[in-house]
Amino acid sequence: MPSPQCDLLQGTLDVLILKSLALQELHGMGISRRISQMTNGAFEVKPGSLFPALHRMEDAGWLTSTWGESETNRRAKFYSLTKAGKKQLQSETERWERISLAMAAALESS
Amino acid sequence: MISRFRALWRNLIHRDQMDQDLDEELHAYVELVSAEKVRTGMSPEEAYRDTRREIGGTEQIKQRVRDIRAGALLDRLVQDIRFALRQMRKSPGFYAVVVLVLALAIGANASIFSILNTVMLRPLEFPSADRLVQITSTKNEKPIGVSGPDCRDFATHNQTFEKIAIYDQWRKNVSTSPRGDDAAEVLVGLAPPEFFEALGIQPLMGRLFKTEEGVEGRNHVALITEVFWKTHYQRDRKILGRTLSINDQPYTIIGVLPATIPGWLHGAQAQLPVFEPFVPDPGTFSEQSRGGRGNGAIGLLRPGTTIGKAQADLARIAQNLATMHPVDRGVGISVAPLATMRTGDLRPLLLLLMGAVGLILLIACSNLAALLLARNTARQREFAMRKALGAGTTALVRQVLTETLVPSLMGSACGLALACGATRALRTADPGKIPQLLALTLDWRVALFTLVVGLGTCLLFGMAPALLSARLDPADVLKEGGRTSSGTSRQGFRKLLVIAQIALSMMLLVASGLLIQTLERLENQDLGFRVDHLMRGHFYLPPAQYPMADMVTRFCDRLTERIRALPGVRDVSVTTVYPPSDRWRMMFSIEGRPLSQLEDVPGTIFGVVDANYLPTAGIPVVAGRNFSDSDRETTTPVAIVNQAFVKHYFPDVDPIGQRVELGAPVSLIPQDVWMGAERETVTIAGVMRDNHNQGLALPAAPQLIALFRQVPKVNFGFKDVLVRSDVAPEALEQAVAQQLLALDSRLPLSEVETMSEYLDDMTAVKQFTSVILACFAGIGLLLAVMGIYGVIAYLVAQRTQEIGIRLALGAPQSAVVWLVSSQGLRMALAGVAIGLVGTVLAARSMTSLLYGISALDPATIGSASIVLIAIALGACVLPARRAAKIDPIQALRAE
Repeated sequence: MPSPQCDLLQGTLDVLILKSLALQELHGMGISRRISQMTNGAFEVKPGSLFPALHRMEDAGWLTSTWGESETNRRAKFYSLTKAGKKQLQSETERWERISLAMAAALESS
Repeated sequence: MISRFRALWRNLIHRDQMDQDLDEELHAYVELVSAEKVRTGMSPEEAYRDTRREIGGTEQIKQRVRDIRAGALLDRLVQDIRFALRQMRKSPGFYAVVVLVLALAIGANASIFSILNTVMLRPLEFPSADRLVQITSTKNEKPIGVSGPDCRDFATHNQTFEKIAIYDQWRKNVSTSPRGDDAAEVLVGLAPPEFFEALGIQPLMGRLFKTEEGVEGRNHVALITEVFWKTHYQRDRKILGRTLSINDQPYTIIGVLPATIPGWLHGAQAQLPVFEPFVPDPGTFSEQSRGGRGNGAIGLLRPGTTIGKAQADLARIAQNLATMHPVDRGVGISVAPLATMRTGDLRPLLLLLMGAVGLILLIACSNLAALLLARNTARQREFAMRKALGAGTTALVRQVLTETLVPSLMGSACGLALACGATRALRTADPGKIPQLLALTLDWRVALFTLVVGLGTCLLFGMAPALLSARLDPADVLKEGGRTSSGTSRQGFRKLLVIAQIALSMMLLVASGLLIQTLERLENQDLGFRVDHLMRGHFYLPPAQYPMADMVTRFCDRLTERIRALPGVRDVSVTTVYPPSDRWRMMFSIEGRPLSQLEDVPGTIFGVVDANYLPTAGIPVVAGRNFSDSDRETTTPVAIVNQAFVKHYFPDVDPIGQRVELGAPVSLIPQDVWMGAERETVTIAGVMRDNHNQGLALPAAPQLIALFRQVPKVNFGFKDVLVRSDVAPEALEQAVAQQLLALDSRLPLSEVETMSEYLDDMTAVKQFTSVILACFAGIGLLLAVMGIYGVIAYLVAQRTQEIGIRLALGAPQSAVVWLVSSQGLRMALAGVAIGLVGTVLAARSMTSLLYGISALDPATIGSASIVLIAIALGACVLPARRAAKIDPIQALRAE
């Protein structure tokens, strides 16, 4: 699949990041790997998109970060969802469900 | 929202910390990815390199994060401002000049604007200010005030007003002692309850007037204002019920008014200290007084009514009145916002000054634009380098604009401070001569104006340099090696700017020259009387003490006797007229010339005097005889007319011996305003030389004067005293006032001043304007000189090699001087030519402000042109001499 990032719909990345953090806190690479895992490798998020998005979402108050230790024993920044982030994830999930239903309906009709 | 703010705060304040964290975060990422690769079997170095390649530049990622963070824009602005401040620190001299020029120009603008704001823009401080109007009757488009009966009809028949209030003001002798001792003559307001209701004024204590107090006999109640309460009663809380003496009559104080009724409502400098009820006595409201206009009137419009509708409404009533009452024929009505009364006659002068100060700003802007262009030319390599290293056009423009924004804002701040000082100086230096200036303060409008002007200036003088530097082609500039390019188009633009400065200076110079000459003509013209060694004062003999005309006459005789005995007094006269402005108008008819309708009855400027008036004022008799002491109450009443009167009414007849009846003929108006049913007839005995009687700027109108002892019907208590002295007139002021007090201790002498002071006050506004305008012209010239000098000096520096070659090839020094100076001369000529066009275009708006001189006066324009060209050449002298002294060998070796 050729560079699926280019086809990422506006806002897709945000949902994916929110979703990846739904269960546990992760550092930047962890988020990237988790997204890849969740989407069966369809989405590879490059750091050039990932970090700006993380900082933007942190500024927006959806994410919060703490410094912890990584697997390589290095100081790393771990992100987790805030209350607002959880709410955002919920509303985004609903929105995506509506969109995908509508898209499916549209494509199935003939 | 709150989290955005917190993020903004965090990003701005802990910027370095955030950067470090970001760095660390990315490092961790790289290491984690590498570690993953090592686990798949790569060597650590290989894994690290691979990861770095995959990620691309970490710097770019960091920049993208920075750009996306909250406050990134602000951050960039802060960066630019820091850069600008660094630039300013690097060349403090240059930027000091920039800030100084801006501070001067913006300060001048803010000062003039604050005057404009105070006098024209600021809303009136009344609750329903937007519905308040001034109502006045007009004759030949000129406002003449309203009459009592007309105003009453307006009040009852209109459909557009909530309230209409007639009011008046009289000079009266007011004393705080019930016996009337130590009285001072002050302007007392006469107002009905509606006056205060329309203005929305509540008393500080006590109550306002009641309608039933507007009746003769019940009207002995007074309102005093806060200032009077403070100065005369030390804010005594038990003031209500105390007695005030007005014209020797007791008045009970019933309330204290706040200091919110401006003096300009009454044509006075400050708020009137005392008000008494307006008494629409039989005289004022009876039918025969319909023609006696001169009262003020204000109205409060109904909500939602426009001025136009109100005007149409009253015009309809005025038309009806004209059909019913002959005196109302040809009388129109005008309804104007009350604020126009505050502006008065200052409007055209203020607009002129605002225009002039705007020109100053333009000159300053073009000057700074030229300075900046020159500077940025020197910085071309810097810009080219930045561009070559990847700075975008917007980034460059933004940076150059920020570099001008910072000094602009500094200049605005300094300008506002200057305006603050200037307005304070204006307020204290010239108290009262221009009463509106007493209320001069800076408010948010001035601050906003200054800020807008500052930003506007920044755009005006920063935009051209910014765009030009953005248009640079880096390859070209960098190729040229160490030399800075001359950029002919850029030089052309600088020249254009200098030409514009000269043109604008030319307009300012001509305008101030014209105004100064106007002033000079107003002050030095022959007014028809002797101004020097003359003093005047005013007094009032209240009818309560001096009810009979002969009592007034006797008092005046005794007064002049006493004053004449004072040392240093040459002559003295009690009079109601004196040049250069008389307001008393009288209808009259000439014996043998019957009049059939009221419109045909002529009017003349009138006055009653004693026999010494003409010699005291220094007005010569040109035909017939002067009044003499043998003209007594029992002899034939005589009169003296001026030359304009003769020219107008007796062009072909000898005026001497003609008989004139004062007042409108009884057949047309049975009851005269002044004389009731009776008339006085006088015989013309002499003709006096014309003297100004309609103010400084108008020619003498027909005038007739009579002796007050001979026309008792118009011998009232209002009198002025003129004293012609051998010594300095100021020295006599106190002694004259003492003579009055010696005759009656309750009579104050007011308005005591020398004739020169009196005339000086009449031109105060024009003096004020011309001084400021002259200052502006000076500033403009200075800036233009700086501009020319800058361009020429730069030109010489650029052409050093060329000039060196010329000199080496044998060109004489004079040729080099001419080569340089001709550049300046060409700019000066172009500027003067354009300025001339501007002057012609502005001529029409100047004309109304001038007297005795045309707005296109060739001498003024000619000398302004010569001055400008001379100054321009002067600015070239230094660079030209430097050019002539260039050592060819040095110049060529430097290549």
